[in-house]
Amino acid sequence: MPDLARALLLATLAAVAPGALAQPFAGNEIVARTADELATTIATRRAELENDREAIAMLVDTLILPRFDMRRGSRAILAEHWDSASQADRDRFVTAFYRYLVATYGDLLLRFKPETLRVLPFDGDAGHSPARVHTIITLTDGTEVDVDFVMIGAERDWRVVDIEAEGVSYVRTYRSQFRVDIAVDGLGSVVEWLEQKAASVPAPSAR
Amino acid sequence: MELKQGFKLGSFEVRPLTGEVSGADGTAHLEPKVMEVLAALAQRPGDVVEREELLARVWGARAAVADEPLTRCIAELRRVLGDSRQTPVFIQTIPKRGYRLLCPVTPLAARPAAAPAAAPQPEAEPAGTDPRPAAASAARSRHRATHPIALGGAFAAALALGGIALWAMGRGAAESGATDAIARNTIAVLPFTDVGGSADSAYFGEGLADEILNRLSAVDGLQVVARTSSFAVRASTDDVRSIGQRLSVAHVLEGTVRRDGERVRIGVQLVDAQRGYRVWSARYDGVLGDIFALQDEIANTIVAKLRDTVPTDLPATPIATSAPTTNLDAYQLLLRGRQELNRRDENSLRRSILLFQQALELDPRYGQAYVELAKAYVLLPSYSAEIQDEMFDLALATLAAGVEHDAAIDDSMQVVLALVAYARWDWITAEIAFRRALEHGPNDPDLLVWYSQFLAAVGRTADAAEHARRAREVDLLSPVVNHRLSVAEMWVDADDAAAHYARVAEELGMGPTPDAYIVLKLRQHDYAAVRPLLIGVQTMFARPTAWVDPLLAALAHPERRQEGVEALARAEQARDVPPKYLFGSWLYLGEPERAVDAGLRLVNDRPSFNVEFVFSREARELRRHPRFGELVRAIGLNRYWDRFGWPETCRQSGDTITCA
Repeated sequence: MPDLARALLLATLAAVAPGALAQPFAGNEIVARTADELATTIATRRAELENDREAIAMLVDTLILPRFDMRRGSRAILAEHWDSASQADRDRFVTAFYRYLVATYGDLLLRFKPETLRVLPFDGDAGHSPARVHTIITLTDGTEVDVDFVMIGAERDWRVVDIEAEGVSYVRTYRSQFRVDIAVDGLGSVVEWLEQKAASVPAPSAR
Repeated sequence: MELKQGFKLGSFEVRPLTGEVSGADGTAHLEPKVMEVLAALAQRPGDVVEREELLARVWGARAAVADEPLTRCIAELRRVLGDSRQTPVFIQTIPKRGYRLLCPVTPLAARPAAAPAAAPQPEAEPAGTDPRPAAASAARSRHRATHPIALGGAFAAALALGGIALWAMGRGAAESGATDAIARNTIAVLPFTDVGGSADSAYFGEGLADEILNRLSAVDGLQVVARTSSFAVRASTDDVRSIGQRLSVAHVLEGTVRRDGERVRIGVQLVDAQRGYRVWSARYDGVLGDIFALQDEIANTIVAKLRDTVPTDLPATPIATSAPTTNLDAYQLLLRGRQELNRRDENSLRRSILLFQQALELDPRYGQAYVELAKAYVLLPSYSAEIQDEMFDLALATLAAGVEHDAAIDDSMQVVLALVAYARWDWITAEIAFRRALEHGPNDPDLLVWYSQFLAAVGRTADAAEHARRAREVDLLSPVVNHRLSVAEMWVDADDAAAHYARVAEELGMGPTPDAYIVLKLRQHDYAAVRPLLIGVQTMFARPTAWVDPLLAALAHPERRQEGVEALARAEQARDVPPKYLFGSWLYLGEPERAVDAGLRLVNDRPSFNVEFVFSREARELRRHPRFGELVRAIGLNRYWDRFGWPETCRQSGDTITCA
């Protein structure tokens, strides 16, 4: 699965070029619009973003984060441990996990081009949440990867809670990884690990 | 482009009129639907042909049911052409869209002997090429030894060149080499055609066939092919003899259903698939309210007709099922829900949940709807990010409500109870529930597959393989069943059979799971095949890959073992390895002590702990380790063995448990 990381990243933090929309579903439009905005921003600020991790983080904060429901995604990842965690621990995990994702995948944003990803016609029931936005990401070697955005919401307000690349769900994968660590070492240990990982990632230009 | 008379596709010559594909090693005969798909692609080589377009062109109105038939046709074409989905030479899959023929297509001249009507056609081959017919062309191209068919060896060639039917009949038939060994007490029920119905009304014909199939399955002495196989084969061909051969059945039941308001007309015919004649046909007219009685009547008549022709005794006791609901709208919602449930993806499962809930709103006493709803809840976490325990709780609450309204669901709900208990490692409850479920549906392939997984997880690998084989006997065209049989054969060290069924499953549309793929490839010492998967899993989630190459190098070169151990230890310390891969990697490196520790951590994530692996030959050292008992107790297997008997290879001495 070469380059799947890139696919996931482009899926995780980016989203997508405009595509044909067979049925009106706000989720498809949100993904397409975000992709347009992202492509425009990268094209105009590439030099700055390549040298400034904070600038990428800011871009993600303003452009990508509003399209994700990090809290619902975090709850799905922590599963039973979410229920037993305090409010403060939940907040800390959500923040740490978000920062980890930005630090880990952020520079891949810079590789995003409008033609990288296309939105496929919606084939679900727009009246029911969650719904899936199907997309295809074209990797640099020409390989096409199926990426689904699982979105929750209603009417015009839909947010991403999970991403599946070639059937691999990031929620289920992180759930599997963290569940073991939390059971053995506690939620605090996992949060610290996420914070350390985020802090240790160098800026894109340094990689 | 006029291709009716034939066309050249790479080194192959294709003759749509006769269904022939001739290549270096001979001629294969395609079924009509398969040939139609190939012909449709050949009309536009290099272009993406959308799935919807192919379905509409080849299947017409029936296409709306699902695109699975098309997938199967593509798989058959790839088999015949020796093509691969991953590295296509002929047919490329364009995800979410359709397929593209990669090879240029050149029209052929008519072949006088085979297609006399086309004899006056002018020579169509370009100047300078050999205008001789296919046989000569095939001989000419034999030097192309690098073609996948040539490289695949005798077995692959047998499959590719006329072996489709043989392949479909499975290993047993292939070994016996005879189609006339088909038992006379075998029958396949095809989905009924909904005559004049709209595209979204196919559920009714499918549901009707399903109900009759279920009634016949309960008849002692009758072997009924499971739904997945019989419905799939119907989608690819209309020829009953061919269907009979592919499914290894002596009889085929097909039917039509026509609805006009409340009126229902059902036409059925029972065909002797070996001899090609109609045994019996009938037409039933009634109203929708009679539907359950009509199903009984049809099933009883079939049994009576078969009793006249089948040498074994079939029971004379008439089938009499009580109407599960008096609300026919609820019944139709249930049929729709089942159709969605059988598609097995997140959207379809969610739609099935809504449909079952709607059925229950109309008839809160509808027991089957509770069971189906619970089943959908249990399956959903496997296809979505839903939290397993939450869905399981919903399933159990649904069954509790169902039993209150309809105590008769006690048998049919056992499968759901078994699945929940199995996933929660409540091994004793699961065993009891599986046994009860099997009493109710001894030939249910899903149930046999799940029980096979369960048996392997409790260390009964031989029984697991036996149940997987039974599943395949009734559902030989199911990709899931073939995949399961591949895994089960792997656990009994039948590596060739495991590889064979993995390949069959893949051709049917289901690639190996990563775990099974890794084990199979490592047994073949194909480390290069494993590397991209491990690297992919790591990089996809931004995890370091530094341990992967040292690990594989250690497996390939024992003298580099220490290097692998150290790399993995560093990765473990940094939490860079997914827990389940850590457990497996320590086993492969011959570090059972570390594997026990990794396993004891992994028990905290039951969904990702493949307990079956504990009883593989790769885990032999682990099972002999003095601390193996710690893992057994953490998993809870000792209590199961106390209750149902210890494996012959295991012994307990004080706190120590070891197994051979």
